[in-house]
Amino acid sequence: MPGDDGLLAVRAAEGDEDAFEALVRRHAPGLLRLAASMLGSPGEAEDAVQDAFVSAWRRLPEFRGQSAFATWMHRIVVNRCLNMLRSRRPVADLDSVPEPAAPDHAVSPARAAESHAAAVALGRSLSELSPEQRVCWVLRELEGQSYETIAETVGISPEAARGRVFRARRCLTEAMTAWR
Amino acid sequence: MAMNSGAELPGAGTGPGSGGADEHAEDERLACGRLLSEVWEAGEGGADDPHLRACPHCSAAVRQLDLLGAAVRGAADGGGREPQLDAGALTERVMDVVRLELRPGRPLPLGEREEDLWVREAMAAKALRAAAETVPGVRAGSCRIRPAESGGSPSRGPVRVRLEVVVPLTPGLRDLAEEVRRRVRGAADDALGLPVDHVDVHITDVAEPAGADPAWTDPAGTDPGTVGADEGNQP
Amino acid sequence: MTAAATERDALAGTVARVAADVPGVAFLRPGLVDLFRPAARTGPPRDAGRAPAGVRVSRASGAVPWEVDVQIVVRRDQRALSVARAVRDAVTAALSGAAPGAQVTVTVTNAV
Repeated sequence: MPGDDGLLAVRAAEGDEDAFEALVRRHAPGLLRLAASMLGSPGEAEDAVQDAFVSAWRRLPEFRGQSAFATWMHRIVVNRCLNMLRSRRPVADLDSVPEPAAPDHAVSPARAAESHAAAVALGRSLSELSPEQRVCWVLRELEGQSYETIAETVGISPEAARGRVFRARRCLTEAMTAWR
Repeated sequence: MAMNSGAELPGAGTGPGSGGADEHAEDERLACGRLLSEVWEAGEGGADDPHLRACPHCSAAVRQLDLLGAAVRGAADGGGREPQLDAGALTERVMDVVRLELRPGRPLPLGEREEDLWVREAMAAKALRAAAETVPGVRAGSCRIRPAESGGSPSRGPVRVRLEVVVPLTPGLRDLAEEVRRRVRGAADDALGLPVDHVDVHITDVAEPAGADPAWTDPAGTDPGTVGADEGNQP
Repeated sequence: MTAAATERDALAGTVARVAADVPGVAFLRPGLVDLFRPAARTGPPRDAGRAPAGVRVSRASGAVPWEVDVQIVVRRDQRALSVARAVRDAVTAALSGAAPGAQVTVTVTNAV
């Protein structure tokens, strides 16, 4: 209920921590998934989302509902993830890239193994993208956002966002083709 | 939606790292003459282009993108259950920090004028919002409670309440607002013991009843913001 | 520690103990130390004898009555005013010997 979000955000801004808790409960699962796909690590994703919510609680008194709470929160998480990716050491340690879990709904064992290996290949090549490429690509591929929205969130031009998504796709499809 | 050529991008001054022009420099022209970026955009947009389906180069490129999407969604689904559990623990951790940084608001006077007993605004507001929401369908938002009279700091004497509510669409908005006001007054006395001089109820939105057309627009043209219960300054 | 500080701490300890025992009081407003303990959300502060959170005892000089400030969290089903009055009365009675005429202020900060 997005309309309900607005009421809860107003209450939380006025110091109602119960209203804020309801918002956290409602939005944490989606934001965790988003952060995990940007950072590739569940632990770091939890840190990013926790920091983002705490920061939101502090900034709520200035939040005047210019945008929906979900949009605002989403933006805080994306920026938090961008900063975490940028502060990583430039050369990714491939051994530290976590293995994505295999999907459990695959048709056959062979198919499952195939998509599992594909997911691993994907995880590795994701870690080789630049922070901006990775974030733009996740917002496009997993969130289905428009280039205008991505551009606004990341703070670049729509054309640059489009370029980064394209480049990420090239890197990733090449990596997956190589694996196949 | 046409892609800009590199020449149209002015210096690509769009932020740190590689700019748009660099990205497009890596575009690829397929054997059929189309740009990979354009083919992907068309494939993603579900464009009904006979060439895309007929051309082996284009359809191979689109299939690559589909495979990538399938792998991404597979990875996302596979990890989809564990985070549900983590979200609960995360909420607890966030709230542990929030409770260290509560914003209780100003002290408001409880009881008689000469008593030195107080309640914090945020807590009082929670109780009054809850009272408003005992009216079926009513949802409460902002609740501000201020001293009715200026004077000492912190100010003694009865307070003034300004409450914003979203109400269900009913013929008697004025009666509904009046009922909300009555319950808020009741809770201020029963649940808190907070002397109230004045309660303003502002209807900020009218929610259509469940199952109604979500595209409903106010047929009477009344502005919900102007409908409300305001008891004026009489005691 | 000076004698005055010792007396003040003793009074604060008495106030904390008495206030926490008043029906309808969930706990005294927790300070940082209390909140960092596990289960701080619902449990009463355990070390009530030591520098209790939510209680401030002071006076400008030895010639004037003590000023006592108590911050409480009440149970949600209780009337804030009734609990605050009960705390004020219990604290005033408990201090009538050691600190006669103490000015007791009670603030309800939250309900759980």
